[in-house]
Parts: sequence; structure tokens; C-alpha cells
Amino acid sequence: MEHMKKTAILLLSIGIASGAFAAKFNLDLYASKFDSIPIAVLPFANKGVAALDTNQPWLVIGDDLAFSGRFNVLRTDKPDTAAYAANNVGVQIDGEYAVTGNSVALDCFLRDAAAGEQIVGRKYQGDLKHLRTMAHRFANEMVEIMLGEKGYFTSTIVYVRDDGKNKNLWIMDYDGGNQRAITNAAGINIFPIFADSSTIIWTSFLRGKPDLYKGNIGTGRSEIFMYSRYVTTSPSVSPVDGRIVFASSRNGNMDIYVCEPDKSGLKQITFNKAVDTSPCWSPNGYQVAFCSDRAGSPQIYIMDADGANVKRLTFEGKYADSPVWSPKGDRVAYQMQTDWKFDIWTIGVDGANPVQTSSCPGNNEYPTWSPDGSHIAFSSGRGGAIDIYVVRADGTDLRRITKSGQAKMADWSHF
Amino acid sequence: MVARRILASAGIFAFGISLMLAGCAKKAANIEPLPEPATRLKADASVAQPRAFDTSSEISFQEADLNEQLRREAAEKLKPVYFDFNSFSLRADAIERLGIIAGFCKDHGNLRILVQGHCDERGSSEYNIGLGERRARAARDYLANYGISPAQVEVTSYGKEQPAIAGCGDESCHQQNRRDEFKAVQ
Repeated sequence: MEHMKKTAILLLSIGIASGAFAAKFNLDLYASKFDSIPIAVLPFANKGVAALDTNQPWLVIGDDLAFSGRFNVLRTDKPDTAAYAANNVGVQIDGEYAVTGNSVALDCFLRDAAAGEQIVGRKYQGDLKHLRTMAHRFANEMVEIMLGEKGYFTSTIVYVRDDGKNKNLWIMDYDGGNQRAITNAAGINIFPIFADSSTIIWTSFLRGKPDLYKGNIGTGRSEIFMYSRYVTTSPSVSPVDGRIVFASSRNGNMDIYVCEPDKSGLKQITFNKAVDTSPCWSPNGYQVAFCSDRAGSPQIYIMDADGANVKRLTFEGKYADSPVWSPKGDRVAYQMQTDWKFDIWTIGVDGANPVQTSSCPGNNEYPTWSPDGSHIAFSSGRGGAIDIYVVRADGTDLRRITKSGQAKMADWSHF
Repeated sequence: MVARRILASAGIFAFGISLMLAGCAKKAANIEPLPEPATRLKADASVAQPRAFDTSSEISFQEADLNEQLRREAAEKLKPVYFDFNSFSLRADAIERLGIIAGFCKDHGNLRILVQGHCDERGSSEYNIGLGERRARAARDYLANYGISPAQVEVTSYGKEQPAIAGCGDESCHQQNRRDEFKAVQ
């Protein structure tokens, strides 16, 4: 991280008005009254010369809050008393901006919608290319202030862009903004995962066979990480201690292995003649979910991190793979095939209550959870056009977040 | 404009607000660094040179640069063998071709052969890498019957990542993808 080039972004807390003139708005009480908190978002005033015609922060903030499903966002051009009353709106977001060359200054406010009193003010200043991030940060603050939870609007998604010839790694904001390539090689790069916020581990066929590679998106440096004469693939990194679990055929057939972050302590944890693959850590680092065809067809299993206590989770469907453990630890999402078509399902870690999450046409594959477990991103497509979609974990509010027709195998970062 | 009005009134009460409005940078309270957008990972060929970790990784899997005569012979004899759906059993047509491939291996004991297992596009990417690995291993094990040392044969899997024909809609097309490919490697 110390090599990462950094740009300072000014983040000043502007004073919170309080005192004798107005009773302080009780934000906790207001937020607690609604399942979906009514909030108005107004266009920001231009205090400079150049107007923002893309990435307008008030649209980004409104989209973030609406996306979460926890806010009922009213977009209005000016404070609208009648609409506020009709929608129970008690708070409003507005602001100002000024663009100077490549730099932007942004003042964002949360106010008591009736009295106009400022509840929260934040000032951001930095390069225009960070404009969306500034807006995402303010939206995170809104979640933290009103819901007492961490916001995930600055989280990112790493994924594979498959142009039909090469498969390269790309990264984007959680909402599909800022899409950019992070590998630019001829060949096959698949199964990317975040080891931490700046480190990606993935499977690359650069040497003519699958090996694990590791790269830092800050420095742009990458190196071959884990390899053998045989197949090495499907990494997952423990969110607790950074241990890596992966699948390899180094001892004769595909089994699951664990090692320390520095590759020491390599240990084989499955010894089955079957194909064992797709390992994924539980959030507490005690267990691993994986795919095995030991019972005839590929199905999802869980076991302790030392390979003990193997338990089969999925019995429905003829083919299940790509397990990912929810951040809360209670469910596992996976792709399951029925009638030649994959869909996204989740199941309790006790094997109870399997629920189908996606019902899009074509194949729905490679689920990944949002940092708070509220949403699942996955790839969906038919024929050659595959894109990444996000849906709430309960299957509602489906959104498509890429439009290239070439995006798949997403991994959602931590907060 | 509401924002300005409230900002001004807030200034009356708020600590240091006028200073901030006049020149925010001077009173930099909380400067928080923001990472640069990700730069491209330089996954160029140089990273393919492994560091000392596992000596077997020093083995190259890149296709050998054969002379014209050898290239023609390899193209004629190292033909793909095909598999049934979700199977790694060697069919009669596969066994016939493996006999020819064994002859090539014997004639050119100095060349190593890489067997790449491939799958059709209907399964999952991860499981198919396992299935392709089994297909490659089935060929290597059969070649051993002809006295071809496993040391001369590398096995790997491309799963469904490199189909011979992409976007298949029928079985005859899928059949083209369920295969082992054989390459002479350096």
C-alpha cells in the first residue's frame, strides 16, 4: 500500500447548526419510524462556471440510497412541501459544487426538510475523476448516520471481461461505474477474488495451464503466486487471517488445499478420488464450502478448514457449483442447473430452505455477496452476451450493472 | 437557494465556518487519501518466469518451435480425441488415435507432449476444469500402456475456457468441444 499513489481529497466536516433557535432534529427517531426512510434529493447548485453534465453527485447519492432498498428517495428540483408531506419526507439532501480545471469542490448537506436546518454537512475536494467516489462517501455517511450500519457504496467488483478471444480482469464500482481493465494480456484470466481491497488473486493460463497469480491494483505489479506441474485454480482468501484455499491436481486428481498467505504450510484437506473444487471460506474462517462430484453429480458440500466433518448441502438439481458463503455466515449462494439452465440459489448452512434467487432467461452463474449480505451480484446471459446483474438477496429489485455483453465471474470486495 | 441560505445561517453558529468557506485547504482538518483508480496489472510474459518455489514449475508448457517437417508430422498424428457428454472414458475412436499419438511419442522421445483436456460449454467453469483434467489424465494413463513414460506427458485442463467452437446450439457442435488436444512442448 505504501507504493500506492495517493491523491488527497479534502474531507472537512462543516459545522452542525444547533443552539437556541431550533430544536435539534431527532434523526434517530425519524429513521426508526420507517422500513424505508423517506428522503428528498435535490440537484446541487453550481457555484462555479463549468456545469457538471455527467456523474452528477446528487444522482449518484440518490441512486446509492435507492439501491440499498433502505431509503425511499424522492427526487425533486426544489423543496416541494406538498410532495414532502405526501411522501412523509422529513429530511433532504442538497449541496453545491464548483469545478476548477480538473478539480471539483463539493459541499453536501443533510437537512431537516421542514425547517431547513442543517443536520450534517460534508465538504469534499479533489480531482474530477473522484467525483463519483465523493458522492458514494456521502451516501455511506447517510447509511451510517441513519441506519447505524457501514455503507458499501465505495465497494468495488472485480470481474472477467471475455471478448470471445481473451479473458481479462476488469474492475468497477459496485454500481457499474468506473469500469476499467486491470489485466491486458492475450489469454485466459478467470476466477478473480479480492485478497484485500488492493490485492487480487486469480487463475491465469499464461504459462499454458492454470496457475494462481497475484496482483496489486495500486502498484500494477503482479506475479505468479501458486503453481505446480498440474492444475492450480479457484482461489478463496479467508477474511479472518488471509489463508488461501484452492483446488489443485498436484497429487493426482483435483483436491482442495490450504496454505498461509505467504504460501507456507501447504496442506491437502480433501483426499477423495472425485473432483473436489470451487472452495470458499466461511466468514469466520472455520469452514470451507466446496463443489464435489463424489456422490455422482457436482453438488455443494461444507467441511471444517482441516477437512473434517464433511457435510453435503445440496440435493435438489442435477448440478451445483460456485458456492459463496454469505457475510453473515448463515447461507451459501451457488449456481444450480435444472433443464440445462443455471440459476442462482441460496441455502441455509444446515442444508435447510433452498431458495431460488434469480429467474433470468439464460444461464445465471457465479454469485457473489455484497459486503453487508443484502445483495447478490451474478452473471447472466444467453448466447454470447453475458452481463453482471445485482439482485437483493430475497430475489427482488434486479438491476443490470454492465452493458458490454462480455462480463462475468464477479467478486464483490469487502466494505 | 436554500443551501446558501442555510450555510450562511449555519455560519453564525458553527465553529470556524467562515474560515473554511474562505480557504478550506488552510485548515485541513481531516485529509483523507483516496486511492488512484486501479492501474493495469502488468501481466506480461515476464511474470511467467516463476521464482524458486516449486522446482517442477520450471517445466515449460509453451508450444515447442518445431521445424517444418516435424510440424507437419505433429499436425498429422497429434489429432484431438473426443469424449461423450460428462465422461472421461476413452471411446474406440479415441483409443485408435492414441495408438498413433503413442507412436509419435516413441519416435520423438526428446519432445514432451502436453495433453489439454477440454469440455463443452454447458457446465460450470470450475467443475469443467476438473472434468477436463480427468480427460487429460485418461489419455496419459492410456499412453503408459504403450510404454510412454508419464514424465514425457504433461496433463492440464482448459475446462470450457477454450472451446473449439463457441456458442454451440446442438449436440454435434458440443461434441467438437469435448476433447483432448495434444501439443509438443519445449
